[in-house]
Amino acid sequence: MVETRLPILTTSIMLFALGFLGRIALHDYHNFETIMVSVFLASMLLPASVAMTVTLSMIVLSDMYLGYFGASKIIIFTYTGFLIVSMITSGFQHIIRGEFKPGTVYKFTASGLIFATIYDTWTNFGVFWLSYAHTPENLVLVYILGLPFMIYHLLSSIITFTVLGFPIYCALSSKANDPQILNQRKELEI
Amino acid sequence: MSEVRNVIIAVLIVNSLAIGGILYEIGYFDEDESDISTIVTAKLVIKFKNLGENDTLTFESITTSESTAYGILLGGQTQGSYSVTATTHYEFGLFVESIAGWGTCGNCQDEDGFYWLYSVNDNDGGVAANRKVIRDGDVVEWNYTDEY
Repeated sequence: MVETRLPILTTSIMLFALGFLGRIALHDYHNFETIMVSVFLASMLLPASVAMTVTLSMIVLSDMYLGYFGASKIIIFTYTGFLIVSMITSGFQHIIRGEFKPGTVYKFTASGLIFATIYDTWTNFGVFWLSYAHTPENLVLVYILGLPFMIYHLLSSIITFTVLGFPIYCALSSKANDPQILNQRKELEI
Repeated sequence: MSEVRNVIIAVLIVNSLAIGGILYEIGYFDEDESDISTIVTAKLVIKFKNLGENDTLTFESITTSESTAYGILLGGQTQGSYSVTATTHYEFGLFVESIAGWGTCGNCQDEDGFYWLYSVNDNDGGVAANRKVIRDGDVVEWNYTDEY
């Protein structure tokens, strides 16, 4: 279900700009990025197919701008990592969504923690798969070495999801009792 | 209005915890402040494990004004007549690509499965080399190795 109160294209462009420009602006601050929250918002507010398009375009284009594109096979894992986040968000958005209430802030906090964990677990597995001999010891080692970065990413995700994600979601999402939305839904049902 | 206040309080609570955690992570509360701009003198060892035990560069005393494992490596370039290239890794921060022509730089000789890893006083770094603070008398070892 589409949740945005603005046209889909406008919302897509805004979320693309948040992810793309935020990533470039925060490039020097590792594990502090706006791509994850943009992916999350796109999946909360837009149809799944459009959300995936926004997700891929902001990662690919920012990678091209920063010179990462094609530089390493790890992008297979980073790209799929964001797509996994996008798919899970689309699947569970009916549970995550909420109104302008403290409960929604906590839901967004939990979402940031969960999605950063999923993403880092997947991409760390990619580091193991691409760079290390495939032994259980090395797998454990990669996750241990990645822990400091993962903790930082988790904490920064809390900030981006609550300071950026929550207000943007509240500003862009349609209200269930909005007469205009209700009319649109009635028209669709008819 | 009270809902707005409650939301603001909720945002402040979770962000205070997150910011506190980040400051703790970066060592803001450490008493011995992690100043990486002090001048230190340390021993630097560069081992090319792909070439055997004899191919090791050892510098008993390198002085650098960037007191990190990466700083001491850069500080030894003139004395050791070698060059260093590094890149910013997606997740792990600074990542040394090559030292003295071995590694993954454009014109380097690259040994499959070998990477540059460092240790300080025989302890694995655990963080990006440009964030690992070293002190006078430390032994910093850079290994081109396939043993992780």
